[in-house]
Amino acid sequence: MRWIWYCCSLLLLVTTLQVRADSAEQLFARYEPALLQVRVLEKASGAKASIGTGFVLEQANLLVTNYHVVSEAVLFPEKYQLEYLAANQQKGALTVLAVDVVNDLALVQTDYQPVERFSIQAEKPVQGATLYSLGNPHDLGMILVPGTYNGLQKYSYYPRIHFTGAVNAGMSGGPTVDASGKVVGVNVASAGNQLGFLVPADALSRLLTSYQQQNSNTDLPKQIEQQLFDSQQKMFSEILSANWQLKDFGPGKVPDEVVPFIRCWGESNVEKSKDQLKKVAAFCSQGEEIFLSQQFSTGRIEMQFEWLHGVGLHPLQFFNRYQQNISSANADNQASKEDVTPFECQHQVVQQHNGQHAKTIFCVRAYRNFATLFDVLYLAASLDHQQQGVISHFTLSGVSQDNAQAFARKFSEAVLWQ
Amino acid sequence: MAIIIEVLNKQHKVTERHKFSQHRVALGRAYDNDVILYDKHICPHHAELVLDEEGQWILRDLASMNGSYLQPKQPLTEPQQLQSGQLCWLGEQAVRIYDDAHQVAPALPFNPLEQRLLRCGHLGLILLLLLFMLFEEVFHIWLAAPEQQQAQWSRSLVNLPLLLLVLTLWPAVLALWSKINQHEARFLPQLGITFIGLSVMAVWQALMVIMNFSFDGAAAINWLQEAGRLVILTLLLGANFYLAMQISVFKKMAMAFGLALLLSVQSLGLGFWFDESRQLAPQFDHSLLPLSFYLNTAVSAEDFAQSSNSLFEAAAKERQEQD
Repeated sequence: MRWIWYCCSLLLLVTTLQVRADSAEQLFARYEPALLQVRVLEKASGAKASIGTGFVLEQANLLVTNYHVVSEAVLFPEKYQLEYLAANQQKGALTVLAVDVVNDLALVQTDYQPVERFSIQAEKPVQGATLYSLGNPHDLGMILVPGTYNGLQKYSYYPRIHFTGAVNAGMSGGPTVDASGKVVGVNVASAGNQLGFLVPADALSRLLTSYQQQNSNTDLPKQIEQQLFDSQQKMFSEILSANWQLKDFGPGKVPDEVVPFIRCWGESNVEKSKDQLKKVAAFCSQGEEIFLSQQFSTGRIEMQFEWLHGVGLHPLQFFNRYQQNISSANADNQASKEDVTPFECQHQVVQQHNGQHAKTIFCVRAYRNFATLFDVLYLAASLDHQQQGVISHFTLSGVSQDNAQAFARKFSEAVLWQ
Repeated sequence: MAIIIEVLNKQHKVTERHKFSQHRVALGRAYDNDVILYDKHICPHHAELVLDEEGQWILRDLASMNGSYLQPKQPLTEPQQLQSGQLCWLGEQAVRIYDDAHQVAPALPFNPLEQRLLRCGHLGLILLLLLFMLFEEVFHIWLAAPEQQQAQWSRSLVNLPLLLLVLTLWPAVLALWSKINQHEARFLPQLGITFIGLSVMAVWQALMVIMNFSFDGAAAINWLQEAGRLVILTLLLGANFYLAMQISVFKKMAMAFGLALLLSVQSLGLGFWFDESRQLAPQFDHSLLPLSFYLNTAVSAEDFAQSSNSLFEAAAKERQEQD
């Protein structure tokens, strides 16, 4: 009797697998012609500089891929050009029409005309639904990866679908579809071990709509600047209007997770008896960044608090170590000389509203290509105690002057020392 | 009329001085000469000086192997009259002849500066400065390595004698130099001067740390610090050279200033020139001292926030310059 039960369940298992495999096979066979490999070619050598995946949408014969796949060609059109390679080995040129750097999407014009094309799924999938990610990992050929929809990534400011399935390099820009073959998201990133992230399809729909509304505007740098400006405007209005919760920190109070997308961690060496300088540190950040190029990312917010206590140290000894702790403050986003100006800094001993003193450092650098945006660094080291100090520090990237100054005001007023 | 014969070394410094009242003076390597010379290229009976009827001294070569000269490369073929103070060569050996009526320079008064510099060689002073510098060094070690890091302490302390040895190297070099040139080493005065210079430098640096903190790392303080360092270094080297060399005071000071400038430029200029303007890292003053060292008045938070406007303007201007 038990044997029959086993055989039945095995049979059941095989048949369900069969059904899934069938549908996946059909999906792949049906949509493979609408998948293209997107290649960034260096003009001088004619060789591939990087690759990604793209898919043809039913609307207007547009190809969709990630902005980060085509960024080199957008930023340096004199150095790089784009090319596609279809399953039937057909090749052709591509032109970027519109980008959304915040959601890492690009709409590209192509002359390739497949029979079958992708359409966008308007409904959100249910948690646990099986999705299929399509793409060309490491230039190994088009593949299909089954995985599971697990909702939106928690705490992330820029919405991303959490897809449990292997999304590998080169699959970027490829579609992830549901069982009916409709696009649910666009492959964008991976955190390893089956942790994949997708740009939700509604971001793609929005980009399509805005592109169709202002068809003529193909000034991509202008588009990018506007998107960055709008994005920081939205993020900072949320942060600045929030009622900042404070937490106890050493001899004072510092801001905690002031908005849901700013996460905090902490560490200390208090338990280790070896060092006479006790350090307690808390870090808070909005760690998601906006990719602009290989050397340039923006959109991060980072706050750091350090409480130093020199147990048994002479004040001069303590301040000597204290000073080393603030010497290496730097921006936390990547940028090169071509992207940003050098930092302009002011550094003074400032008397706070409550009469406390702090060595305060404020540095600003401008974005060379985006006139309204800056990176900002702030650091204040308290001076009123002989063997104790609190360092409060933040860096903002890609922020307007008004927002930066408003944030600095709110931040410096929020940090309290006893 | 008596004759004075100075035997000179290769640098034309006097090694022997002879005075004769006879009318004939024999020069050579043989022991029956009046002036016995050691140079191996000189013949046993090389030359002689003879007083003629006119009362002039005459140099006569005695058919020597390597010749006698009044002009380089022109060996004497016949006896020649000599002027008082004239240089002549027997082979390679230089000799200077004077008659006793030859004028000498007037006596020099004691040089007060030199006397004062020589007084820096006082052993008590040197010991005091040594103690001060040791104290300063130990203070820095103490500042950086708290009590419990014993290993670092002992390592730094072991290095102290080595450091002192290095500090004595410079006066030793100067002493050797002047020993060769003037037969007078003056090592202790040189050591004292060097120690004074280093101590003043240490005090200046400490003062500048406080000034730098008090004026929030203002560029003027930075320049003042460098200028002060240059002045101290120039004075130190100038004093060193004053004792060690016999050239004009102007030349000594020029040399000292040149060397001091070179050392300053090497330590500050290269870093300043190549790093600061190009690095992407923010450049700010990170000096921290207890508040009681702050001699300035702190700015208010409002003023600080207000002045940040100018940073945005400066950055925007920098951006436009690039365009």
